[in-house]
Amino acid sequence: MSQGLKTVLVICLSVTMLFTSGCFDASEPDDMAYVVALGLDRETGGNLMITLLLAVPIAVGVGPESGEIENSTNIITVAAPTILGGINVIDSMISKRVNFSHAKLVVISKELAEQGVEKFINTFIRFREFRPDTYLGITEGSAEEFLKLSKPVLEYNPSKHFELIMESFAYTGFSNGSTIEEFYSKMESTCGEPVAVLLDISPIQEVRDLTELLKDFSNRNDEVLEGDYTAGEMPVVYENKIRQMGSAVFRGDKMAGVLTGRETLYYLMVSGKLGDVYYTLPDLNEGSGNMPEIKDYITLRLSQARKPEISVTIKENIPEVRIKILLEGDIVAITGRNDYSTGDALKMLEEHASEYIKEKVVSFMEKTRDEFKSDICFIGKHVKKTFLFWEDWLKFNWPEKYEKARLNVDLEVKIRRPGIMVKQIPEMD
Amino acid sequence: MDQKTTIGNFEAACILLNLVSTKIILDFPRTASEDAGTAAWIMILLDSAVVYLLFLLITRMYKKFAGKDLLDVSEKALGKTGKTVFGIIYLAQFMYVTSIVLRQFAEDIKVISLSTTPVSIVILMFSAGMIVGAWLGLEAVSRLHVLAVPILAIAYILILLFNIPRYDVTRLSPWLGLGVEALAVKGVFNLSYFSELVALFFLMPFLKKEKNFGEVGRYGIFFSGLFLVLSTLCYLMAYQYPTSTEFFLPVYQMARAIKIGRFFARIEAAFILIWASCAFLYLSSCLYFITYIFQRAFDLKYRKPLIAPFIVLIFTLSLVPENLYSALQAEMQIYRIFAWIISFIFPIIILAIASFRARLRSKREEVSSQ
Repeated sequence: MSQGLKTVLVICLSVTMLFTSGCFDASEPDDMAYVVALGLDRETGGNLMITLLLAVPIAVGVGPESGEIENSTNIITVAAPTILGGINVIDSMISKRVNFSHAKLVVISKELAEQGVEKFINTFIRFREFRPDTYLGITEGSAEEFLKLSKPVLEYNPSKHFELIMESFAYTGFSNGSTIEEFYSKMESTCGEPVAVLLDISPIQEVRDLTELLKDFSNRNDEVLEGDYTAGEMPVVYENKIRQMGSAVFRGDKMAGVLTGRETLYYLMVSGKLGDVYYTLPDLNEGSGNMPEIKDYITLRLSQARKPEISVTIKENIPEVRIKILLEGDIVAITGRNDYSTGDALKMLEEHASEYIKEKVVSFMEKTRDEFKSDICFIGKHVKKTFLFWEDWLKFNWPEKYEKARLNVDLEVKIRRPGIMVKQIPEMD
Repeated sequence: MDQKTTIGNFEAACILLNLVSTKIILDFPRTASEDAGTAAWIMILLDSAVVYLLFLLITRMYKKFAGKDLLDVSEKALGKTGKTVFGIIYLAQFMYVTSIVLRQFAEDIKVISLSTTPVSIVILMFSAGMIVGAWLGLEAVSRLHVLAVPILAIAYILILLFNIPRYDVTRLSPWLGLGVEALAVKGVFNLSYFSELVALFFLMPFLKKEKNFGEVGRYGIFFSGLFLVLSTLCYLMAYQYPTSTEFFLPVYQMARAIKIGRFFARIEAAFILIWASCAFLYLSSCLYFITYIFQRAFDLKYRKPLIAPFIVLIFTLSLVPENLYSALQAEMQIYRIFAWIISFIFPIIILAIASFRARLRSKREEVSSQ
């Protein structure tokens, strides 16, 4: 081939590539309406109520210019028998085309979740615009109301706002960061059950409402510590009314119950997903100060020293589950006058924390077994690995066996550092 | 002339590696898990070992015929007719697999990227690449393989590595999956995953060191086996059975799931590049082999004029399956059942007959000389 012909060929090909690259699938980001969050409710006529929280990019801010938080999102609700059918309706009336490739959250109402979510999850998994890491939340009330009330406060970008909130479980332990892919995989699993993030709208408008709410809790026998709430019960007065705390527990694709924030923390401990969290426990010597009615607390920063060790033995067809958890922590606050920074006091604190958390973990595990009948901690996978053949494993019927499981928890807390103080000298009376 | 072209052992090994391993980015890990459940990786490991042993046997038998391609050997075994018959058989095999893989690539790219582009346009784009590859010949194709295969292999390994946080070894249990019977029966049919190794027997005349063809094949089998086992193992550790049987493009799914911080996500865009590169290399090599086999089977002087009619045929055949699932079925239900016989059993038979006849001939010559 002559040099001239080659040059002509290269030029022709380059020009063709330039002008044919967007023949069929050209899409301008400007022509898209990007969904930040999607809500699903049951409409009385049997339809779905699909609510989209759309980002308004120009209000989010362009380049170094800051945006307007108030106008950064736009909400739209449609009734249709299917999700994508509803999207078609929306597409026909707004100036842009709905796109889910930046969606961060899917919110499903509790009412729908209790009837089963498989048919919706299927859409999220099958349709390529949905990202596998989109978070999945269940709201006690209406998903539409939830999205309507959600407004970014400290963040201009609504997408980042949701993402940061959902990721916060790594340092609070009060949620689980469940994504649609994780949920789907667990839902289809034969050795465990899924959980989703628990969301709600706070009824608290001012401090007076907060006092009312706390009065209800003070009537309970148990001590109520931070995180002993579900999303809607959180004693918080804040401009943004949407809340995230606890977990929605599923059996198969149907919601079976809820866990509080603290119970979710124990779920993360047993599942080996605990990040680095603040954990408050009552002081060993309660009311040691001048006012015995005011209790003293110790706050630790806890994390998992190593992944939990779970072993299961089957005795007379009953699983004997042994869970060994090793936590490590730093002392970050002591409200009482006792010093636990060193020596025997430190040992005492370790033993106290171990016993206290162990009791809570056992009670959480019993709740999953007796109340939810749902192995959300995937204990089943430790039984599954003792099987050779798939058929035998299916016949074994783990979900049924889990209901009769005997649960033993062995938990140890090691305090590694006393914060940046090595001793605490009480104030002279 | 093509016959004067020579390629190095590494180049030949790269061609084999890409031909066998391209299916990883299509549906291979899923179909393997459909066949053997959680033990799919064991099945592929056993298949690799069996293919390795079969190849050792073929290598021993081929030693006498080093430098000759399989059609030359069939001529020695069964005369001109044998050469033409086996030529047609291998031509049919390559035509069948090329048209199906072309359709699969086109459909897959439609699903994951060019959703509104007509499938015929996508096939046409791939066909253009195939024509260029086949036109430039084996030397260009093999050199491109040497450049691209290491990069593609590294990119693929990175996808597997970035998925490490999602791996859970207990997902591989129950360890023998759907049972020993499934492993044995499906394992035999799945030898067809290595069917493209037959290309080595057509590369023989082009190898610089003809005697080292065994080494080329062994490296090709070792690395392709390694990649096939790794892909199944990693996929099953990331997606438990039976969810693993649901995803249409397993490696794409794994690439989609990669998220390292908020910044490093959505790397499937890079995956599409890897994926299209593999497709072009695979398809252009196949078109080359199709025209080469036809030329050799019918003793034609020129190869290049065959490119146009064969690309039209492949293009048309690729549009025969009604939908994506039919294309997948055509590969899973038909090709896999017979391909291992054509790729491994036929060469053994041809070589056995050719050796026997060569021995007879030499004895006859000995007798006549006495």
